[in-house]
Amino acid sequence: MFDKVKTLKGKIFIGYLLVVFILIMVSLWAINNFINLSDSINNIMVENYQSIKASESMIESLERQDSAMLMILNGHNSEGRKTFRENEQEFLKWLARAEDNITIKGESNYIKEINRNYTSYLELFNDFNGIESNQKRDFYYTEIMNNFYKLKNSIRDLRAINQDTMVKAQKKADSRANRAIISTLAISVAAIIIALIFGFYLSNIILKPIKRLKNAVQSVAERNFNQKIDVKSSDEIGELATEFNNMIERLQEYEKININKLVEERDKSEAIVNNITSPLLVTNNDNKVTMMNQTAKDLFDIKEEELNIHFLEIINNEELLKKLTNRDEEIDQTIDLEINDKEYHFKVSSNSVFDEEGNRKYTVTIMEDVTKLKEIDDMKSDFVSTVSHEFRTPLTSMNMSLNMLLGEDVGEINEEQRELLEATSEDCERLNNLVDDLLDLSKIESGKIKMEFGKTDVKKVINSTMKPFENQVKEENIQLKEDNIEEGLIAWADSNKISWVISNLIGNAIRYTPEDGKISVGARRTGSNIEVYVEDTGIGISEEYQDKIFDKFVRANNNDDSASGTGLGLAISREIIEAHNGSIWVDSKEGEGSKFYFRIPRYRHVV
Amino acid sequence: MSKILVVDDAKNILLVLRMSLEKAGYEVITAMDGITALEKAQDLDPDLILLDILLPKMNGFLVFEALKDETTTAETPVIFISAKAEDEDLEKARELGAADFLIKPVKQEQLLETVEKYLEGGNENE
Repeated sequence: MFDKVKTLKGKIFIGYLLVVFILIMVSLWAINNFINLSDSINNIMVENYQSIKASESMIESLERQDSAMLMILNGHNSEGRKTFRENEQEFLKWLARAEDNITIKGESNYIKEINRNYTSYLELFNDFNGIESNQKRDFYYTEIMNNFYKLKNSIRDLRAINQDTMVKAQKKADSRANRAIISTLAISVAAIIIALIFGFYLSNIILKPIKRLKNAVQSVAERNFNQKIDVKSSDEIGELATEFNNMIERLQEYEKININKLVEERDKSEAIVNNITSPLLVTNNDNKVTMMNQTAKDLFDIKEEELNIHFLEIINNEELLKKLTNRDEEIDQTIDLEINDKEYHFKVSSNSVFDEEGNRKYTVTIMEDVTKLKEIDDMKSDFVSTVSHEFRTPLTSMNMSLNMLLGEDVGEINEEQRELLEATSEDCERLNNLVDDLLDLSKIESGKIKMEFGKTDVKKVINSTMKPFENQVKEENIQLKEDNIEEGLIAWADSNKISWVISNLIGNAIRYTPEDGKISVGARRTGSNIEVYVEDTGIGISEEYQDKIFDKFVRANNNDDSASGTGLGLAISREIIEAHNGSIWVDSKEGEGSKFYFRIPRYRHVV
Repeated sequence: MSKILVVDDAKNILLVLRMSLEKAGYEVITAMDGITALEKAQDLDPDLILLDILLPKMNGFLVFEALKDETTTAETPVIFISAKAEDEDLEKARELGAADFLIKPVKQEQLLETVEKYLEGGNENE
């Protein structure tokens, strides 16, 4: 029935209507009962009461008539007769009323009896009036008295029958009232039960779809889009459910698109990660490895299900882990690892992934396998070292031979011979220096030269480095001075190596600075570094060479014969400064001069 | 006249060293490998030995140890003269008790100065 009603409002209205209907029915039933009850009470009061009242009035007037006869007996004839007649009228009036009000079965018989008896009473009174005064007393006592009682009894009978009936009627009304109470109670209870059942049914009808809707909304909130609400009703809830289903459908589509995108992105990322030929590890904040690419898995022999193990279980290098976790910047370092009895060298670089609040979430570590490169590099260093050593022995014999010849230990030589020998000796010396520098460079590159770091007073190092040049600059008429360096510039450095670099820079400056030139050496503090510079007023370096001069065997001015450098000094300087974790560069203008800078850290650090 | 044993596998080095030292007034004996050097040291009992490290058959350090084991040469000063002059080589030479270490290329004055130091009055009889 409810399903046919279109709106929720209608449903609720019909529900109330039914309850009101039940209420009305119950009320009508109760009213009906009350009416019945008052009817039966009315009957008792009116009908029987009138008969009883008539009976009593008849007895009263009969008594008076009797008294009138006694008055006549006592000689008051006229008054007696008058009273009698008056009461006779009264009696007949009440008798007539009783006759009109016959309600009980057998009541008319009683009235007929009264009628008959009163008729004979009246006849006896007429007789009483006709006889002699002295006979009257006897007549009264023998005839009338008898009749009087007979009449009185018959009236009493009438009254009694009516009283009986009244009692019966009262009992009847009582039981009827009881029945009315019980039936009203029963019907009320039934009505309440019906109303309750009905209310329950109604609320169920309304609430069930709402409950289903609520459950569905809840599970959608938990991202379960694979469900629809089956609500058949076409009321407001039905509409809501339909709209809700539409919404879920759209959400499903949206989710599908999103998932497709995510899956695509993930596949792309995985493809990229797996195609990186270098081992790659992703660690979380607990330093657990959460992801590895195929190369890394193969290398460390880790299976997918074994992931989420600690970083140190894969790479037992606490120092590296410390760097990975402590530093916010990227790291770039080479580590040695022995895996399956094979020595590997990896260039480790790492990057952190941060969340929106800037907290580190993941660290991505790429390990570039540089074993081959390292081997080649080692071979190169070995080669350079061996070749240099091999050069030294013939150089020694050449040098000593030339010296002996020039010293004329083995005989006199002429001027031309001397000139040739001196030229040979000069180039022999140059070759010697080249071999020395090559050896130094290969030693630094291969890490064979140990850096001896310590607190280094930069001003002191600069001053002691400048000293040996004093004579040379005097001869060449060049001014070499310190640029008011402040006291207490302390760097964390190897003072001998730094001195070598400064010496090399000053030597270069002298070599490329013409007479009357100026060379100044200075230093200052810049943040956590010390910056040192050597500035000259020399020939300068053309822009195209400025980047290259720190490479091996590059000299800015190749056809200048006076430049007797090996072309390795700046390369070695760069190696030394980089071993300090510093930087070296040049600022120069052709024809005006050059300014070489390098920076080294002030504080101890991990190199 | 002081006797110097020069050990080196490069014959040109031997030539210049011998000429330099002879000009300076020393008697020079030469050997081109460790075994020969040991034999000659034993037979001729030199006053000073110039010893290369990179030698065929037996390297300079081993030769040095063998020399120290022989009573004749146990007290003879030995100067290493080598192109191989890494920190570890210098360290080892010092540990073994070498008199000095000359790094190739060696200059003539440097050579004579060093040799003189260990041979007092060696070049008096020129």
